[in-house]
Amino acid sequence: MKLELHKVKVTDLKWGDKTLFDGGTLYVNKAEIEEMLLEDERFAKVSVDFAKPGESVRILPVKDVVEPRCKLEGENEVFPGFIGDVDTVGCGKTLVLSGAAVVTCGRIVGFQEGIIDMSGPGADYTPFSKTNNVVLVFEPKEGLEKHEYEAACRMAGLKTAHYLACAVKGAAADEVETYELPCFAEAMKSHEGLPKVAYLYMLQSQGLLHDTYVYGVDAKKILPTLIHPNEVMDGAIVSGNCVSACDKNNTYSHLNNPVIKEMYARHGKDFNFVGCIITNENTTLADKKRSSSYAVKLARLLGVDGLIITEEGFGNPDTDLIMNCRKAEKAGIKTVLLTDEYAGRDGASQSLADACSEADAVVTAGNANEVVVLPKMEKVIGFPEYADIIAGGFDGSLREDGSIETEIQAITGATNELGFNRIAAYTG
Amino acid sequence: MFGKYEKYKVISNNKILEGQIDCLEFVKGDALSVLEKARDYIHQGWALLNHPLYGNFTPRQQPYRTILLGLRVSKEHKPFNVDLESLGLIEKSILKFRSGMPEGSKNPPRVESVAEDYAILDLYLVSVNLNRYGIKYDFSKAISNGINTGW
Repeated sequence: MKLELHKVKVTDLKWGDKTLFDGGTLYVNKAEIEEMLLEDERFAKVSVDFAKPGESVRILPVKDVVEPRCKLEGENEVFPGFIGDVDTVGCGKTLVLSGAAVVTCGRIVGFQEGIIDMSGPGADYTPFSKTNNVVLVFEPKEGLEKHEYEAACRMAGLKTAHYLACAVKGAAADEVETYELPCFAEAMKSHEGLPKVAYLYMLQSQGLLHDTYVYGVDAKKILPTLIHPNEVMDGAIVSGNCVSACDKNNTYSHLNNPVIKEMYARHGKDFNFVGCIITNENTTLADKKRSSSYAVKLARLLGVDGLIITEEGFGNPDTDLIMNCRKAEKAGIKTVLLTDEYAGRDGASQSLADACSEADAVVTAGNANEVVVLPKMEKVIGFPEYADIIAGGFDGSLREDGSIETEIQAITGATNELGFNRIAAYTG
Repeated sequence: MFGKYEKYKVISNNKILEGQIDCLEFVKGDALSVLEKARDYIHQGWALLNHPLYGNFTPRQQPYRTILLGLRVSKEHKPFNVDLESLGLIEKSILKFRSGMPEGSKNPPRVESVAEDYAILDLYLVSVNLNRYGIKYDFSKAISNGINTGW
């Protein structure tokens, strides 16, 4: 499968009578977006705003972030099962508005959404302080159930991302990236002498408001399966997740999964990247056993020497992470784990809820309990009173002067376990 | 584990579940006391069926816990035949609740509207497990139960 990403760089956002792209600027017709989204009867009100890098702007509570994409060539359309039909994606040409993002914002569950600061110390923790953000704020119709509110916001974010990308069709790409992996028959014979490595991609699937969708299918209902990495770049995996902001894999980070990107970059040089397995993180213990055994069985069938495993979330999924690791290592497959830590504010507590001696190569994306003070911003998009109650915020965290004292758990993408974050450290 | 359990028990401090499930043992206390109650039953031979740290909350954040247990009754059954996997997991979870932020589980949610969010989200998450094992409950009734008790 071969996919070309045609990246058009968006350097500024402006309001316009027509949504179009000109000289790096994306002009946005606000009324048209509001009208399109209000077709969904679940919303009472939708407002559209901008948040650009360097501005004194805070967005909260953030639900998801989506990169605008659409197909230029190839079967189907991006975000299969939502925007596109359910046929296979990952081939042909896809337009990407790099440097732009759609940020969805709503009061779905008060305490589980995130903060994005476009400047100041908070901006250093989130990759979305560097993107030109089209922010959508949703007010639900009275009486709408929370999971319905989430579903409506999810769909609205995808629709808007697709709408913006479609308006830029025809613009010259600043950069074209090509991604191609051969079929298994060929892959197994390629790059003799290099270790075969696969990616085990864990998807949040604990229940309503904690779900991920694959081609529109709720991931908690799947058996682990193979997916081509290119399918992920076309939006085959969509976040429906309201868990803690720092380490949920928002849709943007799925689309730009740095593990996939890096494995492609090292493919044929350091190892033979043979493929990608997706698995879930259910709460029922029997599901955990079944999924971990099944995922490792797929890795064994592929005959890989190594597995890179990424987690999403913490607590319950720590058990899935460790089961995956232990079972793979027992099968003779070397593992590297990517996770984040909840090690207490002083960093001294145990980082994960589970552990095993086989987990001896672990990469951390940061300690979610670390406390930061976010100064007052001139403008707040969304609902500032939620700073007190979102995950990572605590009683008194919204101070009288408008600043916020919070754990970085509250910052969108701060400790992203795909490595799509801005925290890094080296140890000897 | 999906093999037959002759009996099920749901341990919870989530008040919107009160009166909604036949095998519910309602705990008047914090989340930690739910885990401790579940541990008592595990010592008596019950098996843990859902992960105690579900939901991506730190102990300080989520005041409600609902734990599902199953008991196999057979001729070979010995009352104190402890399922060590269940015991290990509940002990690890209790440690997690006690360490780091011990003040946490005792803090009630501050904002009333959020208390309802917490309770409903707990129901959302645990409903997956209840459905899986065929334990009957009335989802809508539980939700309206929450609203009617005046958050």
